[in-house]
Amino acid sequence: MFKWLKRMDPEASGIGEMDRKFGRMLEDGRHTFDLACSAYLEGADAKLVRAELVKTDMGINQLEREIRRELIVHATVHGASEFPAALIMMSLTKDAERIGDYAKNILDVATFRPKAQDAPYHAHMLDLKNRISAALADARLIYDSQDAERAAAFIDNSEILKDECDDKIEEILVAKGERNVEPAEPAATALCYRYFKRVISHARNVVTSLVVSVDRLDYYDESDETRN
Amino acid sequence: MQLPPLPALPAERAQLPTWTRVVLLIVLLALFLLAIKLMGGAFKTLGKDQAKALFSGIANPFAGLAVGILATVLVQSSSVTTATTVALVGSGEISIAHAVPMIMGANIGTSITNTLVSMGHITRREEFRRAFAGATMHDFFNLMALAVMLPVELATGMLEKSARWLTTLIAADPGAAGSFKSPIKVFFGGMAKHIQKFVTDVLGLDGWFAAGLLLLLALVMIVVALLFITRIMRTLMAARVERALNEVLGRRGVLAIVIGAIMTVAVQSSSITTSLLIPMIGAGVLSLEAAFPVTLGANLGTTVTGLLAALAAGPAGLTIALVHALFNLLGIFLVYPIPALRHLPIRLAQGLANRALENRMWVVAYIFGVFVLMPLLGILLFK
Repeated sequence: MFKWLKRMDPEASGIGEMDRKFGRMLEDGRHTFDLACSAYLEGADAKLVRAELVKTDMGINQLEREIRRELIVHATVHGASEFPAALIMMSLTKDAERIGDYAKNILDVATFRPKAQDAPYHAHMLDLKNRISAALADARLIYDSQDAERAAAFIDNSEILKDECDDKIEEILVAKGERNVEPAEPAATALCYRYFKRVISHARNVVTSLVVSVDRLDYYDESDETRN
Repeated sequence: MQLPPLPALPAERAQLPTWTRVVLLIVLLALFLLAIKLMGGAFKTLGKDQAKALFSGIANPFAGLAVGILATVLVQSSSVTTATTVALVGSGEISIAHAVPMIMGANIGTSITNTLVSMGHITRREEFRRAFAGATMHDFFNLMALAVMLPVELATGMLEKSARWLTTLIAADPGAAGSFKSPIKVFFGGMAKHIQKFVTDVLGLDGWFAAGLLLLLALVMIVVALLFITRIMRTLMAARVERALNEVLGRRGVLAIVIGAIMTVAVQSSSITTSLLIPMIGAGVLSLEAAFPVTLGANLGTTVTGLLAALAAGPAGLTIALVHALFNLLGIFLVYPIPALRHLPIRLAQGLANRALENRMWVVAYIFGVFVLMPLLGILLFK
């Protein structure tokens, strides 16, 4: 009973509480990404990693569902003035949840291709992974601080990371058999670059919410002329 | 969450600081208590015989019940009906026995608000099925409680006797009007007398004109005071209400009843509490089973308005306010502990919602029948 009364503290409610849960989703998303990459790039046992990753991902999904329920309550109590914040939060939780999904995809690749450490792009991928992991941590900090300047810098950096992924994918796809590799290896590498790109794109969506209006969420890079 | 690119809405810019709201709340509460005294005094200007003739229509309990339902449906607030009843009983215009069915009617009438709120989901079938069932389970519970307790009350006077006994413990003998001199009652009684004198001596009105003007003034004051108290409390308590509703999502049982009661006391309106549940039920995030105890708590919480009104109405007013509280408390004790009975209002509401989905005329027939036709017939047949 007293525990329940303590939880009735208004400071621990509403968007503030949802923000805290969303922050945990981002942290856990980064954890799943690091876990999956440890299996693909650093030789960690994929079976052991999978158990921890699935558990963390289920936690992320649970948080998303909790936030959705709380958003309905929030919009019901506060009415129309809180709809923009509720819509933004709904969109952002989907982005955070997708990071965990792509981490599972990376782990699937690691399960089928356990020797990525020997592949030609390994060094670049490891460096890229470290930069994306750091960016995921930054995304949470920037979101919490609501700092528009840092958000703009993050968006620029995410463009660089995405371009690097695209360049490598193109490089792999147009390669004309200069190297003597089995065909599955470039496919696995291209897939992982693609997943890396999606992870950083979802983190960027989170940060762009600080600098764009609701209708432009997820469409930051499209010009104003396309808006009706 | 701060959203730099989005400008604040006009409503947000116009928000008052908390201390201003608290001061306004105290002023509105004073206005409410003054209105209660004024209403009692309004009938005194008529004289005993004329006042008695005016209320002779509700001597039949079914007519009293119908008046309680219809008055609450018309003003969309059981608080207004119960506060008015407390004022009339407190001033001795209506007997406690005659007021009991009116109070029960107010309970029925107040559930129309969330039923109307559920209409907002009518274009989406499954949402509407859930929302309409969520709204009408409250109605079915109230009707069940009425069906059991009105005959028992008419036969034994159990609620009235219990409330009288409680009144003697708290204040004074409810039969001895004026024996309990609370400072609040004395203060607002003095103010009400000044207003009455202004109407009779300065404006030169008497009889029906004076009573009509004072009654109208008191009613407007009660409605305005309760309307703004509810609005201010809802804003002041929004964060707590939100937290309470989040707690309700994962809970059932006694704690959910307590949450419903506390929420209703906080916002001073059972309609707000039960109406807030409807979008959540419609969206499917709150089950009927989890929402049901909250509506029972709301029934209990709303009785605080009558108890507040009793501060200015004296022992008899307190007795009828206690009847309201006992009626709702007993309703919970009769229905909630027995699973078969507890599930009955929910099953009935689900059955009605299924029929309403097949044919929307069920919705019209239900609302019109329960909240308009039934009370009108009651008044016409039994007055």
